[in-house]
Amino acid sequence: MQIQVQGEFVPVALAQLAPGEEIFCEAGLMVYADPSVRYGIRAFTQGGLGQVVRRTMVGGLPFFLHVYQGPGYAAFSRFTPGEVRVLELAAGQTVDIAEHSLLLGSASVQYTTYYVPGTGRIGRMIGFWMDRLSGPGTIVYHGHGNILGFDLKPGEAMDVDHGALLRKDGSVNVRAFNQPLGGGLTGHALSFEALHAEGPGRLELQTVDPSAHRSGGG
Amino acid sequence: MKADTVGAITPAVLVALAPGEKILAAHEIMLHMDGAVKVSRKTMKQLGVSRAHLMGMHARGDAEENYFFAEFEGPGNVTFSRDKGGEVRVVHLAPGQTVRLRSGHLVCFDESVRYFPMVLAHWVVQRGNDQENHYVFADELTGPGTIVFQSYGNILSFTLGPTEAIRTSPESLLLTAPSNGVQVNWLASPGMVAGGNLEPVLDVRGPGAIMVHSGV
Repeated sequence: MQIQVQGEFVPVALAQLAPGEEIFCEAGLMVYADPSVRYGIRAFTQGGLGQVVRRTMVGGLPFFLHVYQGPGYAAFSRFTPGEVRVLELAAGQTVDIAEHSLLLGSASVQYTTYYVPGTGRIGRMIGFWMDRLSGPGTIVYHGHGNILGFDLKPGEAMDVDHGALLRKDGSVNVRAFNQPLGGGLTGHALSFEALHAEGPGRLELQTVDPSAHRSGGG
Repeated sequence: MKADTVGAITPAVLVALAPGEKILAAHEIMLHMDGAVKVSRKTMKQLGVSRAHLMGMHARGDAEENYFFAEFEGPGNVTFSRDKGGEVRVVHLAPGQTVRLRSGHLVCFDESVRYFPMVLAHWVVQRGNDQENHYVFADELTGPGTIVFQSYGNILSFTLGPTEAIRTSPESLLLTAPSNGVQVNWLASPGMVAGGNLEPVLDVRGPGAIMVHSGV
């Protein structure tokens, strides 16, 4: 599979598929395609009924994945300003991508989900899902705004906003925490929730929070 | 008219009008204008669009702005913006040359350009006992004259040969030549529940030019 990124600030990923070659993606991402490309739907049933209900009803992840099979081309976009990255995963290499950021993956990529628990405080984040992808294969993802990359050494840590987290290696550990704004009860009452990411591994951040973008821009 | 693009991410269009020169623009997208520029209104009827056709378009849910256009007469400068990220294209149409531009993307056009609103594609979605009609509306523009339009996101241009076709999502089709055929198709999968997650797509068949855009 060959991937070409087209466009500048709202880029699309154009996949050239060989005969029989297959990719998967979420519904509604296709911009244009060769009419000869075969299309299908794959149910995302991994983990059994309990996991399906948890992912789809609680996590808001799609139950169906769309599948495109070559020969031909198909182009996909997240329809918002940002950057597109292509990542070749080695066999066994695992990365986690923020939900609704994955554009496509080759059929050989194992696609599961990864849950990051929230802090459990009333009125705060109850946790969120990430797409867990394992090689071998190719994945393409979209960062909202610009993408900032960091290589964390073992034990090296960084605190990041939830909406800024785009991609992390499977080896990077992430947990939610409350960051007080000053001391005392007032400081705790005004605290905000953030993520503590600890290496080793690659961490990528995006400069636009997609949830804020969706609620603000419609 | 002389039209220039100002800015990159959310571009504006700066139009310089000679004395007596007139352009038409979509309603409520003007950013600023010189004091010498005269503004008036041009109704669809004045543009040759019949009341019956207009009422039919509106019955299908067309935008209210298309009841009339704002007319700007030079001398002076006028600036327009659609307030969204995208690319602006200035296209000079030869006499008789026609393009079909997705509705809601036209910025302005010369008075000499013939304007006609139309339905580019139509499909029906069955929801229980109810039928939902969906449309892709387009502005058909025929030269001679200059037209200015804006995409949402980036523009990707193709020229289809006589036997070539391209499949686009309904939201992604921005512009097509009238020589292209546009047909609604459905992405379906064996075993799917009928009427479930069927996804409409547009199959555009050449020959002719087509533009798609990457934003919505």
